[in-house]
Amino acid sequence: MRLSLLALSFFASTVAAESITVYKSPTCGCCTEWIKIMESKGHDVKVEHPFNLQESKSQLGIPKQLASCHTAVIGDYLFEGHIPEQDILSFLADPPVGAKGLAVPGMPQMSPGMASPGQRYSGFRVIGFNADNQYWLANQY
Amino acid sequence: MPIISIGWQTSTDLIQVVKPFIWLVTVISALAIAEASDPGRELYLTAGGYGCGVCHGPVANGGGQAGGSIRGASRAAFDKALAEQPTMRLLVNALSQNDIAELSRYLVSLDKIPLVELEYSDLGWRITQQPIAKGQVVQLVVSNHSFADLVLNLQSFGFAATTITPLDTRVLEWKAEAGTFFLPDNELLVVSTNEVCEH
Repeated sequence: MRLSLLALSFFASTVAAESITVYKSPTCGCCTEWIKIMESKGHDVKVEHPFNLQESKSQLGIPKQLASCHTAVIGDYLFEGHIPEQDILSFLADPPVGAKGLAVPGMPQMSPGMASPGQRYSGFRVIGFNADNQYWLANQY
Repeated sequence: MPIISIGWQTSTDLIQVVKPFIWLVTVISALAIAEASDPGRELYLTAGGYGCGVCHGPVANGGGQAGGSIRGASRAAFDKALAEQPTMRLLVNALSQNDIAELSRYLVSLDKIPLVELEYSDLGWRITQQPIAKGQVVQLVVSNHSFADLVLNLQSFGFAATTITPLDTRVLEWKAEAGTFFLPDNELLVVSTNEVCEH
């Protein structure tokens, strides 16, 4: 029984692991904290420091209303800011038709990478967006 | 009268705002150039690659973000933050002494600009305002937290009606005249007849 649970756990973590490219500024500490969280969940994170971060966000297609400090790219999808890992996995498991990605705009105090370890996430929204700059509420903390 | 609109809106919207006030075009242009070339504000919007506004709001007003309001922050407070706060310490090597001086000058200058914050969500309006005296330049920060377009009507201030798209924030500047002005949700903004005292 214990062996099968271990096997299940290993299988689940293997299935969930994603290859992530994160675009950030070298001066951003909270970006690094968010990356550490994603790596601790088993994801493979590659970090890029573009010369002009704001231009990079624009070229990737992040709406200015949704901007935060870092932009993560997984496959064809964009994930802007301090999004909880669980929301990213839920999105990737069943992406809404036409969706381009998710965002947590700005720097909410109690979001992953901003909150202290163990603190409950609260006080922010996870926003879904598409290429037509249409937005919807994906989750709320 | 509206003198300039700054912030995260399109230039098309800016033109719509100033169009009815042709006689002010020369003044508006001069002020717009002054605003655009303010090195402190430019740094505020770009420092570190993402800009101070991500943590402190579009005009250092906090805007619900983790860094909070830093309007009017002194040079001493700035230096202390750069020395002690983990997030700010990472910026030390990214900012020259001249950058820090320009940013500090910009933040101190905001202390003389009263703030009116207008936040719209599905729950309605949340409005906060600071005391305003005749002649002061005021910043009105309008945030649309909803998922629908917001038609903003501040005609008593001299602004043409404008639409703010979902999740966008607009910063309008207005030179206060004495009188009573209509904010959304039937709230009033009262400007005293006393001229502002420079200090």
